Formats: sequence, structure tokens, C-alpha cells
Amino acid sequence: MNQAVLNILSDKKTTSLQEKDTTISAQRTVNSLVEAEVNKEYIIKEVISEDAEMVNFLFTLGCFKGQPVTLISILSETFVIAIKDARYSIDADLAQVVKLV
Amino acid sequence: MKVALAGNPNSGKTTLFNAITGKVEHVGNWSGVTISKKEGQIKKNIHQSEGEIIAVDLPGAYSMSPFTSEETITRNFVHNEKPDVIINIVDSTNLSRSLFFTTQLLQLGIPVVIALNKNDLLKKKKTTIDIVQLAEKLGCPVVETTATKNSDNGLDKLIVKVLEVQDDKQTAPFDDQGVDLTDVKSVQDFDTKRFEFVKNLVNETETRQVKSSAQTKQDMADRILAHKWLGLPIFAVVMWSVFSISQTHLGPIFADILGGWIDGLYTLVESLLGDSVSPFLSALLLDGIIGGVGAVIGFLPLIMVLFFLLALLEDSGYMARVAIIMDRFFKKVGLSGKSIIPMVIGTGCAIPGIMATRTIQNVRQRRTTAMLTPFIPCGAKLPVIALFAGVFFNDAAWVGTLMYFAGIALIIFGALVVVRITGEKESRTFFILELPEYRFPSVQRAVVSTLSRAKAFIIKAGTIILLCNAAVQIMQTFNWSLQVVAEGAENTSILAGISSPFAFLLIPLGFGVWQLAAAAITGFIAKENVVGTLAVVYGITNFINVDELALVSGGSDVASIMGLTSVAALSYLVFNLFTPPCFAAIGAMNAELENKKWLWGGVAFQFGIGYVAAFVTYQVGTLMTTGSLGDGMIYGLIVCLALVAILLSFIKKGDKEEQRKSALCAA
Amino acid sequence: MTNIIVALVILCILALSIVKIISDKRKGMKCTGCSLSGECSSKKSAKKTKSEQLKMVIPIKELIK
Repeated sequence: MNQAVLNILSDKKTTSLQEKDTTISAQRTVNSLVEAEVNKEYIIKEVISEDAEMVNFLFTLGCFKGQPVTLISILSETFVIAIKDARYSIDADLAQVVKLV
Repeated sequence: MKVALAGNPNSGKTTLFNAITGKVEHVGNWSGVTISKKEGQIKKNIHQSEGEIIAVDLPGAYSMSPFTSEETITRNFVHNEKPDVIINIVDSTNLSRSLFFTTQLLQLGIPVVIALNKNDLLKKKKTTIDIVQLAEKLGCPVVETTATKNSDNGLDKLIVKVLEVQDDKQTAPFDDQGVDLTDVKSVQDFDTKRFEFVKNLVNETETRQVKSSAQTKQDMADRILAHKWLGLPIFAVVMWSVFSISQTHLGPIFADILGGWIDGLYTLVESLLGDSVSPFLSALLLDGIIGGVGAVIGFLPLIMVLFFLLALLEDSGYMARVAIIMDRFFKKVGLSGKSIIPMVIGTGCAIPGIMATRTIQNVRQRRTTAMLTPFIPCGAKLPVIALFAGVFFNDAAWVGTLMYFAGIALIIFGALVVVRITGEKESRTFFILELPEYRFPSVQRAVVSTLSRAKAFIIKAGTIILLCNAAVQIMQTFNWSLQVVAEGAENTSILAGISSPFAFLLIPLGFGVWQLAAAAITGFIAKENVVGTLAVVYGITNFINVDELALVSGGSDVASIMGLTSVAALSYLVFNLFTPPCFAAIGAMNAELENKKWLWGGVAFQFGIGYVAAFVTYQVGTLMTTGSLGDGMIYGLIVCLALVAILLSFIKKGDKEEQRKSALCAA
Repeated sequence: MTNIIVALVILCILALSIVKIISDKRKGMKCTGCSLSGECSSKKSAKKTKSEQLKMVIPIKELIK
């Protein structure tokens, strides 16, 4: 019984370690806002989504190719970003859509 | 002459509109409070012209190519109804985004005046704007305004400019001549140039000492207030404090004074009537009209304090953070973080809350939110909460707080069920919300909005509630053969006859008496009626200052007159709060859901939830407090299990639908 | 006599509240005694936005696929 619990625990440990590994490696090449570092200005490479309306909407906020964007913080699984003097909170799915240089 | 107010969300359009028209439209420090256009006459003391000037407040828009339905309203209005002048309200702390919309407005051929609003914030941010150069570059007048200030706010100057330009021809600084407007690519390229133009313009006219993307104290505050684990407990504490102040501490002090006045009026009229008046008429006037309306009005102070505190919260910018905290939970059950906005508005009244669901793009999410928003206790339900918290729980603040969080829990549960029934578990939507800056809430604005709501509350009590109470009094006085019922034979009255069958259904919930059933039924006309009807059927004029009670009704305390245990009282409260809202709100649901299946499904769901929640509250509570089962346990259980079975069958159907869809997608 | 006076007073009170409700309805206010009725009185625009129409079309397309 105890052995089983230990097994599960060690399993968990390894998975969390693996997760850590991927984040470390991702920091080297930042693809999208999800992987961005807090408090560092990035330039938007592209905004890609099947949802063309959403891409257009982000455009009207000034979130499009070539514009600077800063990740302010990550709160309750949403990303707070600064674009053009305003703060927005966007969810992880949307942050994934904003590709960075 | 017609003037349109247009600008980005949360730039202060409605605040400016209220300031120039003297109206009290709902404002809040977040995007998307205004969802439909509103008209009002500009106050005569601000302008010197002969004729009338009508101001039209439009929902916020980021551009002329609409994304949300509110943006469409704005676009359509300026396109089709051709206002004489457009006042473009620009958040002066965010020129680089706002002027994008400005350049689009300038293309329309309608004279534009720019109101550089939130001017007071500029100094705090150590930013200066060269308005002379800005006006020159844009080719339209620019006026600095601070709509939140009472004087020296630039509004009179703004209106003077509006009158000056009304016949002007302005040339747009940036024109789309030669651009193929039907081609998406060329429009986008053009708009990129537009942003480039705005960027250069801002560079030339604005000097910033602090970069806007730098971390501020506000961002620090966000890290705590919208923290993954701390956020929700903080929100609970905030709500508890609101209830504690309004319900336990400050509210009752004022309520006692007002209650004294109402009692005074009652005794005065009683002595004026004397003994010669027929008992029916004196009871109708005293118990039906004065007592019933008085009982509702008696809660006014508690509600005013509560509305005041909620207005302060809305003004501070905290509510947008609550949306962030909630997004995580709502997302898991297929709702969006935007669903929180209708719910916050729903704390005032469910109807505008339901209408605010229009801001949600996804159809299923919109309908689900419209269907579930009434679970949030609205302003009309507050007297009911206050009554039961006061009478049975010694004014405890946890009762109200619990009801709000129970409402949120039921919404989350409801959304979970709906997403399973519709079989759209996998559909994903994006969430984006502009984070407004925190600000010190304005006491004055909160007072104005509280007073306007108080006035409305009194008018409602004096009209709809009064009529209902009079009807209840008449129905309980006569029996079916229109004879006055004898004392002790109240069970033969018309009211008892109508509500007894319903009371029978309510036995397993702990309150199967016709009086309580009657109050629940009149509650569907307006929820305040629950309080009014209880006052009439039990002959209680004052629920708050209970010292005088013995004189009026002979009982020593309200709880014993109603014959309810605390658990049954809580169950009754749960039943009244979480069954369908008033008819008006059901009408709003009908309008927004645009689908009869959703409407009746929603109403049935609300009934089911209210019934089961009250049943569980009563039976579990009774078991815990007395160790034995409550009345009608078995047959209530059968009803509840049947309801659950129906729900499960729907969910099963939904799951099949989901499988079918995913199979289709895979194929 | 007093009965008649009291009855008249009661009728007056009831009539006043009915008149108020009816006049509010005529003015276009949906709910008498609602401070927020300004937000509700304007009619809903029946037309759907393009984005809404598009969003309804996309799932159907996906289904056909």
C-alpha cells in the first residue's frame, strides 16, 4: 500500500520535473505570449487564428504584426498584457494565438 | 440638433453624458457597461443656444468595423442616423489606441469635437499633451475635459465648440481614397498605415515620463486581488463586509428610525379612523396598504447602504478583477469570463443583467448566461434576504454573503449541466477584457446613484407592491362566496384557496402553509412582494423594530408568528431566491434567448434548482439540528429524484450529440 | 359616513398608483419604479452582427466537413 503511494508520488515528481524542463527550454525561444517573460517588451510576429473576427478585433486594439507588447503578469491563469498604453487580460488560448519574434 | 457621444469603451462617455444631461445612467469603471444607445437633453445652463440639443450616448467601440453587437449599434447610429455633431470622447491616458477610432470618425463627413477626457489622470501620470498641435493635425477642435469633476471640468467649453462646428466642413487627416474597401487585405494594410499615422501623431504631441508598460503599484495590487488562490477568498471577504455594514451595523441604525416613523403613521391613521369604521376598510388601509408597503419600505435604509457600497465597488475598478478570478471557473464549465459582467449588473436588477449578455459573442454562452444570471440575488430580493437574516439569524452578514456565493455556485453548476445538454463540451472561446485602472471611488457619484435607486424603490413600493398588497388583503378577507371570513376560519379565504394546493407541494421544503405559498406566488410579480405579502397575511407592519410587535399582532416575535424553524426559514429564502425571477425578468430572458426551447428549459431548470436546493437545505438542516427527518421527506425525495432523472436523461442525450459531432469531425 | 370617506381615500390611493403605472407604460418605461429602466427601454436591434452570423455558420461548416 505504502509502496503504491510512493510510486504514485515519484511518478508525479518526474512529470513535474519534465514540465519544468520544457519551460526552461521554451524560454530560449519564445514562440507566443504564453511563453513570454514577465516585464519584457516583445514585438508581435503574427496573430494567427482561425477566428478571423478575433484577429480583426485584436487589430483594432493595436495587437498586430510589428507592434510591441509586454506581459505584465499572469493572474489566475489569465495573462495581463500591455499594448498601446492599455492593460488587457486575455486567457491562455488567446495568448497562444499571439506569436512573438 | 443631435450630438452623438462616441469613443472607446471605458473612456467615460456615460459619465460625460450624465454630467451634461443631468441623467443618472448606470456607470461603472469597466468596459461595456453601456449596451444600448440613450438619449437626453443637454442642460440649459451648460449651453447658450436657443434650440434644444439632444445628446445620444452610444456604447463603446474600438473601431468602425464592429466586433460586438454594441459596436454595431454605434456604427449603425453614426452611419444611418447622421448626427449633427459627434463628440469623440478620448481617454487622454491612452491616445495611441483611441485616436485610431478618431481618424475613422473624422472620415464620415460629420463635424467632430474631441473631448480629451480623464484629464485629471494625466497629471498623475506626468504626461502632457500638446492640444493645439493635436487639434491642428487632426483638423478638429480638441477640448480637455474631466467629466467626473463638478466644476472646471471643461464641459461648457466642449458644448461651445460643438455649437461652433455644427456647420463646419472638416477635412479628414487620413482618408481611404483609392483603397479597395471590399478587399480584406488592402483594408488591413490601410489600417496598419492608420495606426502608423496615429503613432507618429502621438509621438509629436504627447510627452510621457513614465512608460505605460512599466510595472506599477496597481499591477502589484492586481497580483494580490486577482491571485489564483487568494482572489476568491478576498472577494468573499469584500462581499461579507458589504453585507456586514449594510445588514448588521450601519443599515439597522437608519432602519430603526424609519421604522419608527412608519409605526407612527400607522398609529396616527389608526387613531384617526376610530372605532366607527368598518373592520374590512380599516384592515385594508392599515394592514393592507400602510402595513404591507411600510414593511417593504422599512428595508430601504439597509438596501440603500448596500447599493451605496456596491456603487463604490463598481467605481473602483475591482469588478474587472473579479471577472479575471471567475474566468478560470467559468471557463471550466463552458462559460466565458465575460459572463461575470451581466452577473454584476444583475445585482441591481436581473433585467439589464440579462440584456448585458449581448456582449457575449458565442451563442450558447450568451444563452446560458442569460438563463443563469437571475440566480444572482437582485435588488428586489435584498429585502427578502434582509427580512430572513434579521428575523431568524440576528442580522447576520453571512446569510446574504452565503446567498450570493450559493448563487454563483448554482450558476457554475447550471452552466456545467447546460454544456452537457447542448453537447458542446469541446467548443472553446477566447476571453479578452480591458483592465481599467483602479481609482478612488467617488462618494458623490455613489450617493447620486443610490438616491436614484432609492427613489425607484419607493415608487415601486407605492405602485406595484401597494396594489398587490391591497389585492392580497382583499383576497384574504373574503371567501369564495364573497362573504367576510370569520375570525379563525382564515383557511376558507380566496387567498388560502388559491395557494393551498401549492402549499401542499412545499411541505417537503419545510414551509407548507398557504400564507408562505401565497407570498412566494406574489413574489413572481415582484420579489419585494414576498415581504409585503408576509406582512399582510401575518399582520406585521414592522420586521425590523420588533419591540412594538406585541402591540400589533399579539405574538412575541416574528419567527413564532410564522411558525418556522431557522432551517425552514433558510429553506424558504433559498426557494424564493433561486426559483425563477419575476415575470418581467422572464420576459427579458425571452427576448434575449430568442428561442422558446431555451426559455422554457431555463424556467423549468430554475424551478427545479430552487425546489431541490430548498429541499436539501431543509432536510439536511433539520437532520443536523434535530437529528430527525423533516416533514414529507419521502415524497419530496421522490420529486427531487424524478427531477434529477429528467436532467440526467437530457445530459445523456447531449453526450450522444457530442459523440455524434466528434465522430463527424473525425470523419 | 366615515366609512364612505375611508373607502374614497382607499380608492384614491389605489387609483393613483394605477394611473402612475399606466402613465409610465405610455412613456415607454417598462417597469414602474426601476432606476435602471433607461437601460431596458430601448428596443433590441433585431439584426445580428456579421460576427454573430459568421460564428453560427462556422460550426455548420465544420459539421459538413
